[in-house]
Amino acid sequence: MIASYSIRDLTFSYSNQPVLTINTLDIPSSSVIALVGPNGSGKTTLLHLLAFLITPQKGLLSFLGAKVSASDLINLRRRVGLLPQNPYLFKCSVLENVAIGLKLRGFPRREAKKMAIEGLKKVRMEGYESRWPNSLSGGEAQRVALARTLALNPEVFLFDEPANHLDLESVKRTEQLILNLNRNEKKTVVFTSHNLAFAQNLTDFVIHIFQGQVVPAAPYNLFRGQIQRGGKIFDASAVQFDISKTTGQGTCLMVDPSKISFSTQEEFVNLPNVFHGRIVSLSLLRDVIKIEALAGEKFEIHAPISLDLASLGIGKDIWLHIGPNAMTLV
Amino acid sequence: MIRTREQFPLFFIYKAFQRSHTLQFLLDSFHKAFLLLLHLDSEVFQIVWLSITVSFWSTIFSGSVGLPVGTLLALKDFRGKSVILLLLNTTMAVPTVVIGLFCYVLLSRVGPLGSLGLLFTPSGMVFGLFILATPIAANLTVAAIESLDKRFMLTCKLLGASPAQQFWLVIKEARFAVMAAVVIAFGRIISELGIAMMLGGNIRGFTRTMTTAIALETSKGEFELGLALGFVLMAVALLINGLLFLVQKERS
Repeated sequence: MIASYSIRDLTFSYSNQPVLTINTLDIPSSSVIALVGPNGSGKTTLLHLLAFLITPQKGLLSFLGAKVSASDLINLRRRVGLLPQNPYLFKCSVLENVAIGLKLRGFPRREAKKMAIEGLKKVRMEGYESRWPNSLSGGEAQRVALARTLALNPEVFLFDEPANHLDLESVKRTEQLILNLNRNEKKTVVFTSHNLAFAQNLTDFVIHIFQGQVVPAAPYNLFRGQIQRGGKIFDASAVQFDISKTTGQGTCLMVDPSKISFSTQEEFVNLPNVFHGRIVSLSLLRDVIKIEALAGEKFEIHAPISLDLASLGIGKDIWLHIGPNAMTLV
Repeated sequence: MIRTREQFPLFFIYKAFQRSHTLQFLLDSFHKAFLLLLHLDSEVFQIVWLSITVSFWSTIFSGSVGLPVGTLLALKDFRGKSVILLLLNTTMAVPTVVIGLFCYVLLSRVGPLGSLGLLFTPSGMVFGLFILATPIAANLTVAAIESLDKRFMLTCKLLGASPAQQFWLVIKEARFAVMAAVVIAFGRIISELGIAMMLGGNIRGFTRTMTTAIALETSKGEFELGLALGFVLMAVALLINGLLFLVQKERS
């Protein structure tokens, strides 16, 4: 099967500052892909790249097997549908707003209107055709923008933070919509989210993005830094890690949150990579206890749910020991 | 008790007016001005008609150059853009007699456009007023487009608009502000005296406009025609701005 998108050695820079560096990334056709990462990690930039709104300075981006060339951007943009996080509606009626993309693609006025009405039906906004954007609520405007994207019936749907600022019911509806597009219409759907749980509900194929790079796992405990003293020390400015027994190459150190040993008493005497800090938050994830500790840097620790909670508390001292098998260089 | 006329206070004010020669003169002028308008005096009509046609064509020409130029300036980034914007802003502040002088030199018999024979014709006035109003239309269009929402251009692109379609969408989106730009240009043109006088020559029955006629009549000390034309000018201004107001109200 031909991949919808395939990316090789791609760099996108903004005023000479690389904001996105991707070595290899393939997005299979008819799949649902989530781009997950914290705010400012480069998800939206990648989505704009996939929507052909920007072109990479270096590297290869191909769409359905064909290399993306700068001369063909308008046609490529017409084959994908991007819904921005905070969409803009033009100063004209709701119906015209939905029909505008179709008219740009050369559909006759009457046909464009018919398709726009269909689009509005899909998001249950019938009866709003002659309303103007300034008379719509935030949620209604969001739905009109969604109808505008759906009416275009593109080959690929790109949604930027579709679950942001939505109430629980709307989140459910958005999930359903994405699944329908994929299962019934065999569309490729790529969406961004900073919420891993929302992403995992919809797809098994989550691409984690952290500081402009694709990282192999959820971006917990990722530290940028430099390798020093002949590969023995990883300097992440606030903390130094002993990496003499760690494998891998790269400028990013990842610490697996479930492989951190910790204690509330002073232990781990004479071991490398022991950090002393304070507990700043405790919460229950699906099947683990999430402990956030501040020890120079902020660490996230996943502890088994069977753990005795009595000794833990916010503000308490904690000692972390990060063994060589908990660290990966990427 | 029966009141006599003399007992009404307003009557005394009226009498006081009658006694004052200056006020009497002014009242007479107003009276005659209204009569001129009421009877559709042919000279008044001709002057008004010429003013409106000259202003109309000047607005059309300056709009059809100023709007695209302003749109391009707002959308495109290129070297020297800020210099062009600065020059455009400066031309807005140049005294109109200087523009009149510049155009006079161009159109005069020895000037580069002298062979066209446009000096002291309505077309010559249209040319000068076009030079006056084009930078205004362009500048206001730049301002109108730059005040559009930042997400607007991105939305045009992501919907797949070609550069030509983007250009059209921009003008459509900023239409209310662009319309205001055209109206402001028209107001500037119809109220212009210096250029109309220098390039038209204020020839009776040929290039006499409302403003040049008002200036001439006032200098002669005859107010009635001037006042009549003044009323027409104000009425035109009110009408145009009223229409703009209605259109902009429609939006909200």
